Amino acid sequence: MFYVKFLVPVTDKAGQAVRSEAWDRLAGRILDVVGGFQQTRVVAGAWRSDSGQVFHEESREYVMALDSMRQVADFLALVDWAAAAFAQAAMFVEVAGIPEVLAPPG
Amino acid sequence: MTTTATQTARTYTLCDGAVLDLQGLDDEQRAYLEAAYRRAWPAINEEDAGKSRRRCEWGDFFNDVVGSKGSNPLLRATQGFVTREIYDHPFFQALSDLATRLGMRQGLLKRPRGKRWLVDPFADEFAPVSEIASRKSVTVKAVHKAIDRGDLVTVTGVLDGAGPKSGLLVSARSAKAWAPKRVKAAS
Repeated sequence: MFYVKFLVPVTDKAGQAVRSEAWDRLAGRILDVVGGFQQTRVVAGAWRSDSGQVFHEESREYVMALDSMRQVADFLALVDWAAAAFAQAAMFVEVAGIPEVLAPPG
Repeated sequence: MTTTATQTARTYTLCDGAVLDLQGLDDEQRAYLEAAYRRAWPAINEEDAGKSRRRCEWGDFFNDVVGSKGSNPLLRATQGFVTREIYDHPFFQALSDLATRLGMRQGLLKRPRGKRWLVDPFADEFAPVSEIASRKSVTVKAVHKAIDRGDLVTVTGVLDGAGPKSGLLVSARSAKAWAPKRVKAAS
């Protein structure tokens, strides 16, 4: 077993708060995909985009335990879904301790 | 009878209008929910977001009551992992809802239209099946079917208040959220 995690900013890329239903849908998706998660609110973070813009944001952190590397694809699909649902330019993810700021595909 | 005290409350109404049945909560869960409510509710009702944060900051509250490193008794058994069973549990749902309302007040979640999120989640009243049937313009049988499906929250026994009521009583808030399907009579 190994851990994966991702951060979901509490505001979208325009700085707007999102609806609570979006968080409910995210939790439902995670439960469907991996069956459980740990959640915490991360105090604050900042990151620089490829264009040089620095984003300061508060995020929620979701940690999940995967049994097999084969589940990583499902996890990344979940991250891509969350990036679209929460209108994010990129998402911080960590797979077995390896971090990356992941831009959506395409 | 109207119930507002969390220790005796039988229902909790979420800010989307869905009604949770609290009758299965144990004493520890009831005491925990009451403490969380006492902590969050004044801050939810504080109109100034800054003052609200000073009373009870959303992130701290979230981390404590539904976060994996917090004090939620349901999460103790799973090392902080939220499973489907925990997520759907009325205790966890009610705590998440308090955190949601606090987030709405402090600008971290978009507020819904209207003021329903500011209505006390524990406030409810109970009425006999026949009265609910009359209020909803349906038959008594239709109300019983809804009870069987779990669409309506009920209590049994005698409740005092504006006159004693006995037997099977239905949560008025769950009845308000219930949308009976209208069946067209055959012509």
